[in-house]
Amino acid sequence: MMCSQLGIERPVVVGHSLGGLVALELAAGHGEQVRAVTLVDSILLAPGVRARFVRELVAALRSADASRALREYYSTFFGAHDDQARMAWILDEIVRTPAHVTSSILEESVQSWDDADALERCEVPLLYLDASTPNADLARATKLQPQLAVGRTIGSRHFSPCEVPEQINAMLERFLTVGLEQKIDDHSAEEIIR
Amino acid sequence: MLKTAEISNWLTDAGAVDVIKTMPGSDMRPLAYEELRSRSDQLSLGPIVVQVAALDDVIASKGLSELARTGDHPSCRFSFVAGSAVWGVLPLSSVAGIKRGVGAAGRTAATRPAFGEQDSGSGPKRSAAVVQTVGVAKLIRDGIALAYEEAGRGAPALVFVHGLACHRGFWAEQVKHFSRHHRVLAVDLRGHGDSDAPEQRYTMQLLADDVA
Repeated sequence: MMCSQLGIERPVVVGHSLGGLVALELAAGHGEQVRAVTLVDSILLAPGVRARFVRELVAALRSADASRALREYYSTFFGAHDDQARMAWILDEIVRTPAHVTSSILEESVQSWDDADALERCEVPLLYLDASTPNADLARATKLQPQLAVGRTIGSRHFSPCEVPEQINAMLERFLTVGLEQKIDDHSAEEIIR
Repeated sequence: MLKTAEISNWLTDAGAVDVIKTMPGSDMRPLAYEELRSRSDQLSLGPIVVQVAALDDVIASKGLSELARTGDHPSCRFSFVAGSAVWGVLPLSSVAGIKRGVGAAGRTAATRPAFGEQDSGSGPKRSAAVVQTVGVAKLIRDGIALAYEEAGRGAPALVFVHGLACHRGFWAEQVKHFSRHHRVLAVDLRGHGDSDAPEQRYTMQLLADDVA
């Protein structure tokens, strides 16, 4: 609705975390409207990781002091390298989101949506930018979508677009330059090991 | 019908105002739109002189019917044309979900063009009266306001979608970087940031359709 209303034609849709899954669903359901998709550290094809994430976040949302529990939970998404002031800002912003929104999205993303199905339905160039906390089964993702390009940031955990924008931006630039017209000619880790 | 109905909040010397901007769709008869524009009068908004369009016509226009219908969106107090767009000024905070300014300190301000910069046509020119535009641009879908910010130009366009419980401000560094050579859109998903957060099911399909 927003892209079509604003006259934005065939954009490259870049999503962080759950936003990457929204981008994936967008490409799966409206492929003709999307030029390419980039996912940044989204939980993908990792049902165990997703189940734990949903379980722990739901528990935080239901606790007596939800705001504090959410902060504690999301604090685990940061590492030793992270800027403390930025982390504080991120946590402040996160706890503002209405609980009914977070709860519903968690529930729907598990019950009424299938990431493997959405990934399979995608027919556009794909880039996955991993962070240092593995959240995706990229070997399986590459089997489902052989054109999937993979990059990995260093020195940052989940909030890599905020923490290491120079790495994210550089890889995204390269993807825009060489990845939209043809498959990026990188070896996969599996190929290198073989 | 009208192509867009976009709501933003502007801070002017005359005070903060919610502004609604409409653009004609390709299927709207040019004459009908011109007629709407021609019935404009001049009106002073503080020190800014603006054209006042036929207000009822704007609200009654097909594309705005959902706005008028919800009941949460009282009539524009007055409206004006600038360039090819029809603008309406709403009483402050008359629209559900509109927050004054950009909200939390530290949140990236939507970088809306200053008053009069939007169109280089015959509209009012930029006035010193505009202190700052702190507007949060919003589109209305079935009565739900969806916030976004837009910058730059150039293809391919990039659309940035934030994660769960985050908002468009998390992409500030990417918006800054890529808007130098690309048209960039950063959205607030339904329920997040400056978008409305109705009690409803938030399915992945709905979130994707909001962005599409």
